[in-house]
Amino acid sequence: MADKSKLGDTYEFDWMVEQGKIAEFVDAVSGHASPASVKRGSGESPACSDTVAPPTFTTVPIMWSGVLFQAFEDLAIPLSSIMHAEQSYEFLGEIHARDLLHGAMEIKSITEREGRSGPMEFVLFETVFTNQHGRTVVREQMLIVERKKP
Amino acid sequence: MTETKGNILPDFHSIAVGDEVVRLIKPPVTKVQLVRYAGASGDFNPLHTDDVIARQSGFDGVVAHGMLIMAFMAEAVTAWVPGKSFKAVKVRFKGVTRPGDVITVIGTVIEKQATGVEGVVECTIEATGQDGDIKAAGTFEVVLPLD
Repeated sequence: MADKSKLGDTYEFDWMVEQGKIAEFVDAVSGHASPASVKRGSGESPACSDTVAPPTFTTVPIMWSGVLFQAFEDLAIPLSSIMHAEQSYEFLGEIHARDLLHGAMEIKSITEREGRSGPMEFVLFETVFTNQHGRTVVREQMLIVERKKP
Repeated sequence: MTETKGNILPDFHSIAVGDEVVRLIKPPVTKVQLVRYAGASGDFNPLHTDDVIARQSGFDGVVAHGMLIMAFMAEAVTAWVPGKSFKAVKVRFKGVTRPGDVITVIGTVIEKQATGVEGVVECTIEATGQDGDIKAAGTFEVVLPLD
């Protein structure tokens, strides 16, 4: 069971968005062996390059920065028991290659619910990403459930 | 994320409640794709790449990252509208996806509303396997210009 004293803890991190990382992500999702096909951006932001990150790209900084794995360790939840229950995004602005993102991931709630095979524990994380211009670009929530091994 | 189709804005006025606006059939999920997605996303939970560990966790072998299925869903939405029109999405993961599974993403309009200068369109979105089993389901919102 998760360590409830961690409720409200926030993990802050910075992340440089690399063009190659966007291409790698897009290619992995596409399922095709073809070369990277990345979208041309709008050119709205003066500092932007022309590669726009796809909608769920912010999972990359959350995973690669290690903050989520650190949080699981701090919560004392073993990785092997985690199932992803829900995920949501609010897209507030585009993310471009070479943007410098600041992420703040908070442990928003820890709740117990009665499941079919006994009590299950849910942990809700909320992460807000701000770019180098101070603009909030993504707000996302991840709900995970601690699954019991059969 | 896909081709340039999603760069063309759909006409808000010609969208009706009940319209199927999103449909994407993905190539079969492969183990190589799971490895590529693990590397791309940084999610190295071995449940997705190591059959032995996946079996120890009670599965028949590796299962896809839920976030890969959600990325399919987002890809399907941005094949319909440009990324800038895609405002929000929420999904619940309901079933596991195994290598070989063919995922179809379908989005259907449930509500549309003109608010000042914009048109807001609410849709359901579902990712299903080849047997019609639901892998993930939820809702998304897009915003379109009114003229």
